[in-house]
Amino acid sequence: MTSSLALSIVTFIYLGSSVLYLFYLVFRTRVAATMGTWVALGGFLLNTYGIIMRWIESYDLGIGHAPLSNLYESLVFFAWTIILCYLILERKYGQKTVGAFVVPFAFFSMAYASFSSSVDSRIQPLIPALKSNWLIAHVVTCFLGYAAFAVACGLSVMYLIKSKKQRAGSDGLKFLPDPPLIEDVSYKMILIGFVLLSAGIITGSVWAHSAWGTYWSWDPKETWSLITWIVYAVLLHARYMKGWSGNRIAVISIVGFCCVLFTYFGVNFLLSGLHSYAASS
Amino acid sequence: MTKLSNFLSSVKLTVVLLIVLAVLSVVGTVIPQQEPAGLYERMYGEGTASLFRSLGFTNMYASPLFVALLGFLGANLVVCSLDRLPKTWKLVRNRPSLNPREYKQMPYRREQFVKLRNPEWRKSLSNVLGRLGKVQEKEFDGGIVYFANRTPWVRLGVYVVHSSILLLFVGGIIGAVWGFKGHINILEGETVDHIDVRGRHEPKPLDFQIRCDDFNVEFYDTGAPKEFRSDLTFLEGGKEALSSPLRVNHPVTFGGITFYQSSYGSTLGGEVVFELVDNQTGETYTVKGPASDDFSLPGDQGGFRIIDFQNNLVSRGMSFGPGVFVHLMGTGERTPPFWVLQKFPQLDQRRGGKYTFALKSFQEVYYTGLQANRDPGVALVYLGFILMLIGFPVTFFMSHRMIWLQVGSTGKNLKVILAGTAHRNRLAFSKSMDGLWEEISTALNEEERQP
Ligand code: HEM
Repeated sequence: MTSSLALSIVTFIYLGSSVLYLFYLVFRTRVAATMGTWVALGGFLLNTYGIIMRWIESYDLGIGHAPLSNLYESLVFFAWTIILCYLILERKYGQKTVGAFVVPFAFFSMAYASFSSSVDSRIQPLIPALKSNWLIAHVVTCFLGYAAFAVACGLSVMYLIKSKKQRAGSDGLKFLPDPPLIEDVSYKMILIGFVLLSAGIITGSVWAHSAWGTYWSWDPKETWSLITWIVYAVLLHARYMKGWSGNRIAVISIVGFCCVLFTYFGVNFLLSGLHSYAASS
Repeated sequence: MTKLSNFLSSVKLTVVLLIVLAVLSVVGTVIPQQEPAGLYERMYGEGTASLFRSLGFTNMYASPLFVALLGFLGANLVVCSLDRLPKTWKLVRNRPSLNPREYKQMPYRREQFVKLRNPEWRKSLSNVLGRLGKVQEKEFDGGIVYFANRTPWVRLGVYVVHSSILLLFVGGIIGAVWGFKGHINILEGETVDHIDVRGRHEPKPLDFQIRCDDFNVEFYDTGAPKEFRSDLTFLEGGKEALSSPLRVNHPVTFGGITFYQSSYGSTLGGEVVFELVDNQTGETYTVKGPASDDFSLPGDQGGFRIIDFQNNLVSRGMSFGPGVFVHLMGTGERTPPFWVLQKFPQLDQRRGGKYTFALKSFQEVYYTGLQANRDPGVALVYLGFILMLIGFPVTFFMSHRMIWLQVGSTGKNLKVILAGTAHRNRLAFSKSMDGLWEEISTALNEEERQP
């Protein structure tokens, strides 16, 4: 099976998994959640296969490089990291309700990669500036970080819904995990995401320095990654201020993930930048 | 004074400063930066444009406002750290007493009574506690206190993180004040002894020379560039000091300046040959000369000069191949400069000048474009990067844990208290303490079962 066929199928598998998790959330049929997990796992394996095949195909074309070099490849990798992160979390905490808040992100990423006309899915050769191990480290750390933030964002949405219901005195959402647990896991994901995002910015900066001699040039993409980083730094410090916990922290986490999405998509399409993803689309 | 330092050391100030910096950064990505003056007037109108300019929004990240806020953040960081460090240091150095007590204030505390059957209980407890690393013991009348002080130094992690940020600031300032960013184009075979530095009018002389021995570009089948490579030789006092290839992503440093392969291009070199046809007489003349000199027209009636060269002139999406842009001088004709294209020798007839120009031959030489920078702050910045990447995991995923196990014998029973505290991540700490408690209980119970 070619990588592009495999990856198109993955899109539908993640859709299926999202639907199953949502079904579980709404109707609380245990079997739907179990199936959701297995379907997500199957999708993850096929996603892995697709990434490896694409890698091999690039070598067959004589322009071999890790499949992390353009928008399409990064979206596919983003979906992969989200599912990886989610499956580990589900295994650790056994909270299948979270799936409905997280797996759809992976689906959207794959759907955007597969169906958007502005995303070129061909395997392209690397221009000289992109031939760097720092670039690979940069992409891998950034996207693992983004995935952690995606999960944290899903958890924060869940937190807000649950705590709102609780304050309204309703116990309709009993099957959702308790707010302190959601908050704890979400905070952990943010810490992991923050370390990885920092590593991502640092490796990107080292790469820029080796390619152009400037470790920081304030191009819009760089600046937006810094803005994202600042938002999460605000979150970490806000926890030390009186009265900042729970809902407000959840809101900052959602704002932070919106910044991630803007760094990733908004900058390419709304602002002018020099980044290769922007240039190649 | 204390009011000021309280203000400067508050985390609230940090949060406010970070938010303001983030908002200004957003503004800086929305308003185009460092564009020529007219653009802002066209985009936003006179009034708004001049407002933006006076606020520094057209060069946001170097604007006095932005830099001042960064300075403020730095001061905030220094004052806050100095303010807290003594207390943290005390906590790191703190050696709690090992006298028997009840541990009522400890966040984690469990106790139980176990029947004393086996005098060997100390040995098996030591076994269990072995995995806590170094465990201190202190005997008291009829009992013993075990104490483990796990990784107290991780409390300093957050200071490592904060210092790393200061290092980035300091490194950035040093680079901005004492560094420079330069550029130089070198023709194949040419030797240069200067670079052009951003923000300076005259070229900056170097105390060495750079020769470009060769330049190569490779392309993929798609036409996208695959690799640029310059073979450079650095000369000092006329002697070759270093020969090295320079490729994208593989910079070379010489004489304190780091060179990066950043661009390339081609220009005319050597002799250029034109064929001129007199449009009245039909007579043909050959005019030739070095590309950079002025050319004379036949009969010394003025001359011309090449003011631009393209190896593939592109206009309205069509490519016309190589061409030179010619400027006539001293002919009395008022002709604006015009293109003479090698592949279209008849084209110039349409201009209707005295002569029709055709480009017969030329030599093209490649030049390599080098970025030439000095940044004495970069080492500090990289040190900051490393410290930050060490500091984060220490701060986030480790904690200072203090664990006491106190066993006192009350006649036939042992009174066992397990207590402890962790400076963060209490949930995980509790869980691991529960595990420890299980192990301790099993150890004591096993002793019970032995005859
Ligand atoms: C961009 C700049 C900054 C970054 C990236 C940063 C990063 C951090 C990090 C990662 C933590 C640990 C958070 C946690 O344990 O959850 C922290 C804690 C803290 N930061 Fe910052 N910080 C910055 C600026 C500042 C400034 C300017 C101050 C000055 C008041 C400050 C004061 C504190 C304090 C008081 C803590 C708590 C320390 C503790 O746990 O004992 N930070 N910071």
